[in-house]
Amino acid sequence: MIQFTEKFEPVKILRLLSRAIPYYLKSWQDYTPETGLFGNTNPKTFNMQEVGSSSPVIEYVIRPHVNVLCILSAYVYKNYFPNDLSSFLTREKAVELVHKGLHWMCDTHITGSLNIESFLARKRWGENWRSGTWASLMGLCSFLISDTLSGELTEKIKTVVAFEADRFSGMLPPSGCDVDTKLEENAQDTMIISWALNIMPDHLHYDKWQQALNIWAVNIASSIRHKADHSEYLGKSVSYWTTTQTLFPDLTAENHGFFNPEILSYGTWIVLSMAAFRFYNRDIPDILHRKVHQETFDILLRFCLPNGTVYTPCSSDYPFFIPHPFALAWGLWNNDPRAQRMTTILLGWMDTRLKPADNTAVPWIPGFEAHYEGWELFFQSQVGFELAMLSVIPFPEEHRFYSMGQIENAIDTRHIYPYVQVCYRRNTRTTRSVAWKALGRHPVIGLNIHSYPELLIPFRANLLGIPNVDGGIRHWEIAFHNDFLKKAGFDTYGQIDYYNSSYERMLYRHIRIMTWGDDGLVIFDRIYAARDLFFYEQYLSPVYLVNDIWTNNKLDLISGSLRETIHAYNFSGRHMNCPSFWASIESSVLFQFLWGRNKGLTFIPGNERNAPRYWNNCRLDMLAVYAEGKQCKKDDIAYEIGFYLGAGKAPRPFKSAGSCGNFFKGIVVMDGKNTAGLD
Amino acid sequence: MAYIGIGYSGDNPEFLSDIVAQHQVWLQGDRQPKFFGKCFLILYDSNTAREFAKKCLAAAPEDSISIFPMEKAIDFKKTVNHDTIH
Repeated sequence: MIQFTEKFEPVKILRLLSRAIPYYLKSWQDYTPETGLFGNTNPKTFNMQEVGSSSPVIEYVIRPHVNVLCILSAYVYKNYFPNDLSSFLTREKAVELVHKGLHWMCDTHITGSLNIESFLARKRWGENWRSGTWASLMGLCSFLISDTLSGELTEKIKTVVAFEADRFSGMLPPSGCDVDTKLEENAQDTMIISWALNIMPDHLHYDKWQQALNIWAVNIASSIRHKADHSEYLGKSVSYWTTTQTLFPDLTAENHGFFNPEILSYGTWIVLSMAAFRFYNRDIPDILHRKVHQETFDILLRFCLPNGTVYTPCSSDYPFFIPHPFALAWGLWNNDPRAQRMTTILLGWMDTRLKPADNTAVPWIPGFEAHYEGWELFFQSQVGFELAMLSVIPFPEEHRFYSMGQIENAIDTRHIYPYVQVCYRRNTRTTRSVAWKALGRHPVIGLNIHSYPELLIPFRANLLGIPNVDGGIRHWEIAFHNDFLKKAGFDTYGQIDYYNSSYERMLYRHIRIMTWGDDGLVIFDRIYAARDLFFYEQYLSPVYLVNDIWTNNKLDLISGSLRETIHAYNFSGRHMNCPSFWASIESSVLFQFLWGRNKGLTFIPGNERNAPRYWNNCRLDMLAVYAEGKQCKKDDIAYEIGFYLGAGKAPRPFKSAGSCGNFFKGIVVMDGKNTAGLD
Repeated sequence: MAYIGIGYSGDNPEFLSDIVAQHQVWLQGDRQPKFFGKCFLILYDSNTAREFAKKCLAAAPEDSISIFPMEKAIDFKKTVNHDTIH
């Protein structure tokens, strides 16, 4: 076990990273005596060539490759090769592989001469949506191993970097914050300009790049309020040069159609831009130090869980449990003790929780079979890249004093983010959320118990489920929702409409969710038939439970007299009816009926790893509620439930009273010390 | 989701289709432009879309290219579904 402290010690980080080196090296392919590749140009697994757009297709070839080059370059830069790596990697070997890898990248760029069949019609990479990033990382590599590079290879790298930087001269950056923010894209494009400026200070295009940097940097993170900033900038005003809006007014943004807080870690790319100036001993332009980056960083920090991973209130379409040790780089660069603390915790979590079974297993994101190529290698190498950056980036060495209480107070949050439609409450014990706009366009209700942050995943339609009827449900939309902050959290209610394939409304659903006490949620849910139909027998209100490596491959279930341990290697799929009106899992999370019904709670094991379709890296079991099949007439109630979900291992003295009006108004809920009337 | 519109007001009605054809292999790798008539097209906004706009500006006669930021098409609600009103 490695003892990490807030003072980042490169040697310790490289020791942790060294666990993955055999896996990365196994992906190496020698092409010629001068060139080679980490990965595969046409992967057999996780190949997305049918997407057809250049960046996704080429990204799973170039990005993992250059990530591993950066990883090896970090070892060379720090000249650290631990004994347990000696049979795999020496300094000479690392230098040789990086040289060959960089040669291959230069040759296959559109300024080179080597065609790659799988790189779509042009058969080369370059001038792609993401290629500025790939070239920046080449520049970073070239700095880290600069004392080993030949003049010829240095010139080839400069040609690639200059070509990619030239793309952004004389034009304005793209804009947009909903569905697909341009935050990350503009930050990455700023990075290639920064590296070009520093690698080639005597280049003919230097002044154009400088002007491009000034314009792109002011447009990385921009919102409507920057249009009202008339302070001087480049002889005019910030308002004049701010031609984009990449953030909503509340400084959130959407990626893939919903809010994922990780998008606010775009500051990592700005840090890599600033690092270029620092590495080359030049002054860092003030424009890279904008106040808005600190503000978005503060929001990101509020979504960090106690194990250092990032909470996803709207679910996620990436593999689960991807550690991002460099995500808080903005805070680290600015000597923020919260960032230091969180990053240290994450490093410790990675050290103790992620131990590959052997040298060839996937190192950081378990649940994949090792194929050493494609998107799998991309995900695994991205984590390694981030560790490598933690070890080489010159963060401040002096540390500010802080206490744990100060850190916790700093992230205590009660907030409604209206643009991304997320109600959010985080305190020391739990994180709770309702995302009206989420993965699959269906609301997601989320809970994370901080004493066991790996246990619950806010998966698709979490705690609600998508109902099914005769004729099928194919579409849904949120009709409206009303969100309120309460003293200790939030209270939100709204309506979801469900349609069949002909866009005929089949069901409408009223839901109301409020935070309860310090560590729970009370959820009311009623589904009405919008026409005469048959409401199928089904399971609804599912809680998704991780039963996989991160939870030691087992879950303990208690419900009344029932005591069961469900092992992840058991694929029987046997449903277990809970005999009581409550159930607790791992003595950590409690599900308890409190209104509308008192039976039907069922544990449903996952038969296989159950995640978004490309990235099946985690088995999710389910605690859900059995709903009887029934014939319904228009406006009949097909399903109704009120339940509590929160921290706990035994039932709480809940009672409900009153009559249920529109959106559950009139119901009074009590649990001994807390009473709330819904109005 | 944001888009840019590129409008051409010069004398050559084939200008936009020609320049799209000239860069088709590159554009195929990103998102395809959508034409509205011969003199107006829309692209999903991205760094490559902006680069394409720059190429249009460079190739066209002066003042014949206009570039518009576009959020999305106005969504005229087809019908008011009284069924949803309670």
